[in-house]
Amino acid sequence: MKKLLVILGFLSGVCSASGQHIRQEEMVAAIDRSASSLKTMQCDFTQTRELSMLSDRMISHGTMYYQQSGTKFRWEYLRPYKYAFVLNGRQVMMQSSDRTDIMDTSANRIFREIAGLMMNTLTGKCLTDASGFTVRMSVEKDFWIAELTPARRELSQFFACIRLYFDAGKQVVVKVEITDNNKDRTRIELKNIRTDIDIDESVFTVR
Amino acid sequence: MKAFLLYVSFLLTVSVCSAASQKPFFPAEEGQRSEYAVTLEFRQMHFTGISIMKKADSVLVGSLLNEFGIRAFDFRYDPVRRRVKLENMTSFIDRWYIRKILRRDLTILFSNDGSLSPFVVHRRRIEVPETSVLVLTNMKYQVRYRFSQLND
Repeated sequence: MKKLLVILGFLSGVCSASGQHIRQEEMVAAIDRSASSLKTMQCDFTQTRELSMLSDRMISHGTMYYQQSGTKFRWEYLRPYKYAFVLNGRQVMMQSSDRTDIMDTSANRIFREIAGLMMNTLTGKCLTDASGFTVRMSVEKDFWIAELTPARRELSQFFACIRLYFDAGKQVVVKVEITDNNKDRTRIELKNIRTDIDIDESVFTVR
Repeated sequence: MKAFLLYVSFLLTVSVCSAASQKPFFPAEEGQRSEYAVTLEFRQMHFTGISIMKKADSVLVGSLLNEFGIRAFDFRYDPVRRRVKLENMTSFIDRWYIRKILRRDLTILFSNDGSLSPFVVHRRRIEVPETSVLVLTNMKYQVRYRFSQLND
């Protein structure tokens, strides 16, 4: 009887793991389909950074623009500071209030990875192109959650994990939670998400 | 009488200017909190980011992050011991010589807070080029720190 229970327990474990695995693949495939069909996207965001050392938090607001064709992406902070990160093909521009820097990502692997990670995280593409991460999917209320753990030191020195919250109905990212190595979290909430709309090309200009 | 009034007026002007020049740039009162846009320049390299500082338990505590929220390091400045302690430094800048320069520069910056006139102390030049901006230049190592107060 004891042996039978052990065998049943083992089989139940195998079935459950297999079910979870299939479910994860289904979720990733659905998110990938949604990300691939996404032509453009625009949204506002609120970034909340926990600061355990100060028992405080820092809140910033901004806007994001994405265009799949030509690999174009703009992440711009508007309050309380101004800073824009623009990816246009192979070029990246970082613009603060008193300085603009332009880099060619083909000449800098780390930069290429970070720029790609930012864009792919916010569009959901990172799940199928997650070479530097291990991915674990779970479901929580109306969200599909992808937990990305960096597998390489280049990224793990900056953060311990990234949790992407996808709207289970639309399969688009609505929240990103980044946990750093001191367990402090950065939460980015995307609001007023509009997809497949016309976006003025000038927002992606790098110069 | 006229001369006396002029004298009083002059004294008032001097005391107001003096008070203005001594207004601390960094949080000085318990619980006070401020945010700054920060630029660090070292030879051809530069770093831009945000610093949040708060006075708590008589100590100035702060974090330096990049705009995306990735931490460079945290710090504590004890005004009684005039000492800066660096904590949670991100690994790629966590080198003893970087710590040494940062610790000394920040100690001088925080302990000489208040003057509006440029001055040089221990081979560091501190200046206020415009309202709400404070710059420290380490002339020995050519490191420049620019703190600009943020208002939401």
